[in-house]
Amino acid sequence: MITKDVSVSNKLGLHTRPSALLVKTATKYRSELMIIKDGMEINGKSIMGVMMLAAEFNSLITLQADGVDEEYLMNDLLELFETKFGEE
Amino acid sequence: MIKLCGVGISGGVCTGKAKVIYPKQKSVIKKSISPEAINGEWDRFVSTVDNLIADTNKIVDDLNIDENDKAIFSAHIMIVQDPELHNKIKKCLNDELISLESAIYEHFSYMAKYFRDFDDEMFQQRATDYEDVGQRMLSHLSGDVNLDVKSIEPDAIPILSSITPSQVIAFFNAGVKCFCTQHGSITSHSAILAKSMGICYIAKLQDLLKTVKDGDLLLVDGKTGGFYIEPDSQTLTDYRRIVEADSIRQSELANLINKEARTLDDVVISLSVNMELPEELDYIKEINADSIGLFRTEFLYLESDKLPSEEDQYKIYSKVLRELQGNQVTIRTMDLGGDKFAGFQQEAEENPYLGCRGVRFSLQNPGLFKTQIKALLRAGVHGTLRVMFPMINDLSDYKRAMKIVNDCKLELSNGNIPYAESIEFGAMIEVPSAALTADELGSQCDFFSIGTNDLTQYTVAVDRNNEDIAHLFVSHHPAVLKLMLLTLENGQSNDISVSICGEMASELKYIPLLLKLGFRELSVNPRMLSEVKELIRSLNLSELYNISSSNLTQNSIETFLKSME
Repeated sequence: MITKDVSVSNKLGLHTRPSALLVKTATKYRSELMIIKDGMEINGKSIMGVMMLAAEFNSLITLQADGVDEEYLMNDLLELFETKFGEE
Repeated sequence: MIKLCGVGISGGVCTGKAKVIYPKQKSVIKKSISPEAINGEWDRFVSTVDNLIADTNKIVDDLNIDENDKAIFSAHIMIVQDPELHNKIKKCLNDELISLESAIYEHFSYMAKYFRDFDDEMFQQRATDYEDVGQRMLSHLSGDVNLDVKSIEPDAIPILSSITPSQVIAFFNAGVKCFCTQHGSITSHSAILAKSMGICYIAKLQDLLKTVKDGDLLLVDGKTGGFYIEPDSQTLTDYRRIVEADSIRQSELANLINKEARTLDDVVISLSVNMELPEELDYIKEINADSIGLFRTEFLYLESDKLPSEEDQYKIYSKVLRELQGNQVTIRTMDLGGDKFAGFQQEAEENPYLGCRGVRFSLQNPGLFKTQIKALLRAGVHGTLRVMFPMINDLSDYKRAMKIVNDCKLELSNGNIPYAESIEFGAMIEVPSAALTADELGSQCDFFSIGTNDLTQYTVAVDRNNEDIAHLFVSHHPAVLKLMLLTLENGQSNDISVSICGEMASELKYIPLLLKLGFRELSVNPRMLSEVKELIRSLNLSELYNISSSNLTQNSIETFLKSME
């Protein structure tokens, strides 16, 4: 299992489009993905879960990947957060 | 053949097959199931998910929508594929033993409420996504998918009990050219929309839903209100002749497109058009209008329950400004209230026309107002923009609105966000108190725009939606004209532009009167532009019956109008 803390760096936060991108990315892998924010723990492959986090600009979240391809999944996700989901 | 008679609201003659649309199902009564039924309910769920995905893919393929809109639809697909949704529904069926419809309704209502309770409008918008998807799943389950406007063939004629502005917009986007309703009236917002989009529309057709069957051949005359079910060959032939004569007339008018609106005695009139929806842009460019004199922004709030973000608005305003290529665009800030209610607005007032509408609503909802103002300020760099506030009462109203504008400018420049400094700001003159204090207002505003419908209703105290007293709604009442002239004079003495953007400016019988009284700027319904221009080009103002502010009486006005018949 790998755990990483990231901050939401795109201005609009995890609104519909980035949430969808995140879930799509997570769904490509076999590993499980949990996302934790302010004590709320959700399934990272669930659009409903990710949206319910309502993670805004600069908020801190924890990514937890667990499974055979956890490293690849985590790298992909970190890249998404670094590139601000292709937004500002 | 059966003939019904309704009120012709707009458009010419249209034929097509009837498509009867029943009102949308809103809620579901909780129903229990037996344990044996669980598997069946689960199978229904799985197939509904499949159908909805197929359906959504079809919408995305069929409709010419941009990438952002596509992303919203693909979010819909993700919502129904969500593993947590599947877990949740399975749990409801197994543990609570409730029907699939009940489970879906409860889950999606819960989610919609969850998102609606956020302060951030971006998250609030997700409530709409969940509501949409929930309703779509329920309509798939009941087999009643025809409320999905997008599934309607463009040559079908939708038949409804009544129609909302958002349905009008959806039909327009789906290419529908005609629809008919059992209720509705000529003054409703839906009617105004249909008119401006050139959709053929008849309202008040008694027993419509009882009489018409899906697939009936219909002939609809939007001018006279004649509605024929399975018309006979004689009627069809008669109408074919009318349509032919009409198309000859249209080509005559088309010749005027590149000509100036200049009277025979060389008075040049500035003619701009009113616009309800950005979808009308192509048509507006086609008819070569000088500028847009009134771009209403209510559609942003009426199209759905969700609030338009600054970014959404910025995109739309910039697009309109860019397409007009430097020609002036006058955008009116949201005029909500009266008969135009958006889903999020507070509960109905007892006296909405005297209530919280127009700029009053905006000033009481500064968050909403600032979002719009910032989008406008930013979009202003893409063209020549003027912004006006509806329902301004007096100078202090205008100052309060401008205070917000200045706050927004400050916030934008603090955030290093570019915006246009040169935008002109003006007041709609549609309340007698504003017209009577036009001297004060004129010293501060950059321009005036007269809204004749509201100015009339507030001056003669007649609700134009009340049919019993509709005959008292007289736009050419001397009291109304005097207020308009007062506005014009004070505009001129302050050297600012004064235009008329109400329906009066689109009514051919009033054009000579308005010109003779000295008005030189009109903003008209785009469908009327050529006809108004044709009329202006045939007038010699110096030869018209002499009427001016010094002899404005009911008698002289009647004489003037008679002389023009």
